[in-house]
Amino acid sequence: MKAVKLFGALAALVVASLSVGAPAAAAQQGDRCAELHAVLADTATPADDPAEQPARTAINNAVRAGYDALQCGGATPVAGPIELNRQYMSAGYRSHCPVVGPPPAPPTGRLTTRQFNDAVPAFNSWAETNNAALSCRAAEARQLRQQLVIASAVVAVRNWRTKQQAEEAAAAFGRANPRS
Amino acid sequence: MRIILVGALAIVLSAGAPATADEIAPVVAQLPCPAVADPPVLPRRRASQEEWSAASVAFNEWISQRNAALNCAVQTLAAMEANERALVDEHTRLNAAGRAAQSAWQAVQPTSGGSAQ
Repeated sequence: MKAVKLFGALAALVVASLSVGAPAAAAQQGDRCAELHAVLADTATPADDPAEQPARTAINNAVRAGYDALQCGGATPVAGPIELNRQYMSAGYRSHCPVVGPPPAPPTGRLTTRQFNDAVPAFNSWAETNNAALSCRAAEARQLRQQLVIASAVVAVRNWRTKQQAEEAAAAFGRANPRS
Repeated sequence: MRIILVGALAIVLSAGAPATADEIAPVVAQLPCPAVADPPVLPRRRASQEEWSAASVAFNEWISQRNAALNCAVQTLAAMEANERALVDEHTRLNAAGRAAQSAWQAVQPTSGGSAQ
């Protein structure tokens, strides 16, 4: 007797390796990880102002996730330029994966084995098509998650760095301003 | 994933801290957000009042640009997060529909050697 094909187990959406373009020089990937690491270290220290702690923690978390996604703590960090998909950044992105129609309805009434075997290929064909479409969507979601993690990390780094620049500038102003 | 903006820095004036030659910038530049230049340079110590005033205006302008760019980036990340959630939700829905169809077919599958009970 033919079996009904098992529906694919496609539940887990996890951050895997990042899809990147051409390999870059080792020094460049080192710089990238070094910058993330530096901000990680900065934001691991408690904020002087407790009110700033949540923001600092959020930055640390975002940078940590990016650091991990780029495998900066491992022997072989992800190399090459990071290429973000602009379509993922647009509100209301629509999947490019195929849309599969509804499954064929199962036959009704009392069936013989032969009748069932004659009918089940239609379902199995649909299930294969649908499983492929589901795999496509899972891969798309995984890639989007990877890009989101990386983008969040670099925005957090930029946020932190420009805040430092502004604070250093304000301090310098306080020292140098003849009116202060 | 949400980045909380580190506060709108309502302070006056800037020193031109050198920008790091980073690998972060090319990624940030891919976001559909305005670019932010380096902060303006701090006037010399004996600068005139007018020079300090002009520098103050320039610095506050830089802060505004910086905050606008970061707000844009945060909104972009939020859009990505919503898109990801929609993809996952749709995947979950399609997966459940497939499993329901599978169950419906298995319900009419005859037991081995005979017709359906």
